[in-house]
Amino acid sequence: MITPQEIIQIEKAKSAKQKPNQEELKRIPLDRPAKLFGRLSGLPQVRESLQSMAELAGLVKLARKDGFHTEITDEETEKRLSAIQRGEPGALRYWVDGQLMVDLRDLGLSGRLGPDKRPGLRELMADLIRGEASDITGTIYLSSEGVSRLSRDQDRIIGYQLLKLMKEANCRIRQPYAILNPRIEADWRELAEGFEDAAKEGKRLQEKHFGPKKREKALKGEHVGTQVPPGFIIDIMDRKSDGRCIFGKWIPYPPQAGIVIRILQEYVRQNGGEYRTAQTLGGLVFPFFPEDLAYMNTRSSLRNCLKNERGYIVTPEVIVGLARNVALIGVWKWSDIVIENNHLAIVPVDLFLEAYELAHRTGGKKKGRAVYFEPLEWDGLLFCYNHDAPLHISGRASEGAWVCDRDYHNGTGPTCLDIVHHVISQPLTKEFLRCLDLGGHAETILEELQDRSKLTGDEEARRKHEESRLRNKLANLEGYLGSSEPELEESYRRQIRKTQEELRDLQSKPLPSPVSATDIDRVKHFLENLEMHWESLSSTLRNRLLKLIIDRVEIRHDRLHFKAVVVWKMGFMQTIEIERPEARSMREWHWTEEQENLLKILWPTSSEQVILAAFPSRTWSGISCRAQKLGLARQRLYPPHWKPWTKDDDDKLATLYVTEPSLEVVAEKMERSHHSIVGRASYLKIKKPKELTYGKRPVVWEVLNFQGFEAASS
Amino acid sequence: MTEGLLTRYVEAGLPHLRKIAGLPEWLAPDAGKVIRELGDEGLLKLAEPLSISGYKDFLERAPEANAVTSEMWQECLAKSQTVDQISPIIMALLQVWEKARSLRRREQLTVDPILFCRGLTVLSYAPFIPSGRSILRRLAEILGGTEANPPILLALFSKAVVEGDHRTLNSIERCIREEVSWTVWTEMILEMAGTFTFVPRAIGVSLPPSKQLARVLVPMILEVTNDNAARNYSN
Repeated sequence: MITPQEIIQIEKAKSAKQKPNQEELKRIPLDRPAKLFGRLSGLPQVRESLQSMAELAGLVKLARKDGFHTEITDEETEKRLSAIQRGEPGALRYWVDGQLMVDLRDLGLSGRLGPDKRPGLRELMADLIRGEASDITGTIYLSSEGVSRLSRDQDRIIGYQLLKLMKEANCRIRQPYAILNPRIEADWRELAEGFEDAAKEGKRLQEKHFGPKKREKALKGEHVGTQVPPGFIIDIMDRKSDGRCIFGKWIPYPPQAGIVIRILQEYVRQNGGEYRTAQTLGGLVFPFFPEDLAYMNTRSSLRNCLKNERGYIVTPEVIVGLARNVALIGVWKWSDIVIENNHLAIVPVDLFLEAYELAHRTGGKKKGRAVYFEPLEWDGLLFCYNHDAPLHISGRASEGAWVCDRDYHNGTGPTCLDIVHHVISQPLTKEFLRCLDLGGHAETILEELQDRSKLTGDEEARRKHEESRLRNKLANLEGYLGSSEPELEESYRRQIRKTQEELRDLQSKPLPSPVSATDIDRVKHFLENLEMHWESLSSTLRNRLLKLIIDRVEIRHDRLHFKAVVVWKMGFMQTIEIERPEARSMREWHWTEEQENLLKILWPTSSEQVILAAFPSRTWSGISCRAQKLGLARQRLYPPHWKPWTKDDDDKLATLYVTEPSLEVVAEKMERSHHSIVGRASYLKIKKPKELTYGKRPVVWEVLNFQGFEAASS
Repeated sequence: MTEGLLTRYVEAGLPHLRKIAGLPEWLAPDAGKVIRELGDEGLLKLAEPLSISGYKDFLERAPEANAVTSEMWQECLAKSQTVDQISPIIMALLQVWEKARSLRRREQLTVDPILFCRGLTVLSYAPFIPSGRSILRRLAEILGGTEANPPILLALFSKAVVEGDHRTLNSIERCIREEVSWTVWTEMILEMAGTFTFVPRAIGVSLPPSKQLARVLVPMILEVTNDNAARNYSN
């Protein structure tokens, strides 16, 4: 028969196996060594900060109070700290005092440095990496500054590494007023926030400390780290003991300076047209820096430019950048500092001034419009295969167009494609939806809908819990206020402000909308009739669905056709041949040089019929616009059958013009030319309704839905 | 014959036929649905005009469809002389169909739809039955092809439709009309197709269910049902 003692043993064993509760995790393990860790950023701080050094002494007393056995007296501890503070040569920075290790080797070292440059941090991490054991540090004593004593790593790597190591080693952080264990989720978050704050503060301190030195250098007109424009290199004045360069001013670099002048001259000749300039200079490059100037590879602004095997390509962006850069005429600009004649100019002043004026004459590109427009539904999926390598076709959502103009922007060729989006999108969408079968997904969708419904409820509960936690934290922090130590008080106030901000953010975030009851039949109906609902869905969702299913669309095109090969992710392929509709605007139909030459011959004296026959795919207004742009004059030709307009004619025109979409039909019915119809309508101020003028022309296409299949079956 | 046995046989045989003929899953996804819609009655009715009801006797003695193993199906189908024709003929058929749709979209389809459907159906089905050889030969003569290459005949038929070659198309129509059995059969097919409660799809590419897909489709359903499309500007 089991005895009560045996039962107690069994229950004890069960407790030992259970996960330790928070109380246990917070309890300081007196059976493991403790470490007092101190760090200050610089030796001046070590010398001058009495408060910080006194706090270190206080931590030793705290460790003793917590129950750790120490042997050295308080007076001896203070004596050792004072020796460090005075900078005595033999001052001890590391000692073992009973169960407490005091490690002050990182005093005078920046928190931004890694373990490779900080012996104290290195040893701590090497210790913790061994895991949880009786000889591994179980408690780290830090001053009230918190984890910033451990690290201010700007990359936020060391902080999280330390947290993980401490968690695995079950090591606590002991501060004067708190015990934190990373194994407790809330403490982990608090420590992580502490590392984050330490990093941010570190950056601010860095700027505050080094900023004046940088400014001092900039005031002399010397290089301070900004990108060096083409045509210049940096003069090396001297080298530091570690081999790093001490830079002086920028000096001209003739191999590039000559090219800069050539670029600006052409830019002025092209009257500020950077794309035309780039095209004219096609093939011109900035040569690479030679080996002895290798340090310029990372300092010149050319490092951001496109490259080929000969050098950095001169693109429209480079041209405009040069035209706006006052450094080319010896002006040094840094922040609010402007110094004229700081360094030698590489460009004649009058040339630069002309180019500068041209560059500032044209307005800048409007920024941010795209955020107001949803993406076109096929955005990100179209690729132009008219090039050696496929180029992504951009979707201009604000204009509703597909554009392939990478060559144009690089100054290496004309715009390849610029077309209203529905010409391509409409057939692609129609054929995609025809072939898509989502009928079998009803169960999965319903499951997801039900999950979402549950999630909304969970989210509400989580919010309430989080709000309650933040309120409790605020109450605790407010309770700590009233300390006599100003730094501590400031620290609490900072945390209070932060917590209040978090609470405000949480309360202002809206809850997700609840999911209405949806049954399987409605879901099935939707999936089987997606085509019906497609146009009513948001463009973003349509785009997301397409991106899940379609791998890419390969577009090949000429003046008259598009050939789109739609490649689905599961291997299915469709080939869609789209007839390119007749051009209506300059956007869709570019004039070639041959066409322009022909127009120059015909325009002055040929009749309208002859000219229209010569350009069968263009309208008279399009041809007239082009002629005007080319500066061509035309002899006025009145047809012999010209007759004056009567009142009846005007009334008939007023009716036909606003109802009949086709100008040819109106002209036929009125027995007049297009030109006279449009002219008269303009004179009478009759406006065509928008839907007749800008109505979408029907797109015509043909599809082959089994590309690849024919190879398998043949 | 057990009720529904023929339907079950055809449905059971479809996946094996796909495999042997090399037909992908996404082609004619509604084939099973069509068979079920027609049922035994419809299938037998369709078989009668073309005298292919000899299998009625077989079905009287046949076991249940699920008793036939995969190996038996494959062995049986592999023996068929026409199984190699299935894939090229279906492809040619779909090409013709797409051409006609394209013409219709351009409002350039001048051929009578019934005439078109009749010609297409006969050219597609005749190669698969013994009684179809003679009509196929005659149609091949009209089109200028050979009955040994039915996909080419379909391509020639497509060419006639595209070019609006009414002479050829009318000759085809006359030829079919002269064969009473084929006329009855095509009219039966067109009538039955008209009674379907759904439109069978030629292609239906299905995706494996995934959470990712569900996460996109769910907001779509919510947009439609809750009418809260969040678009800013239309393109």
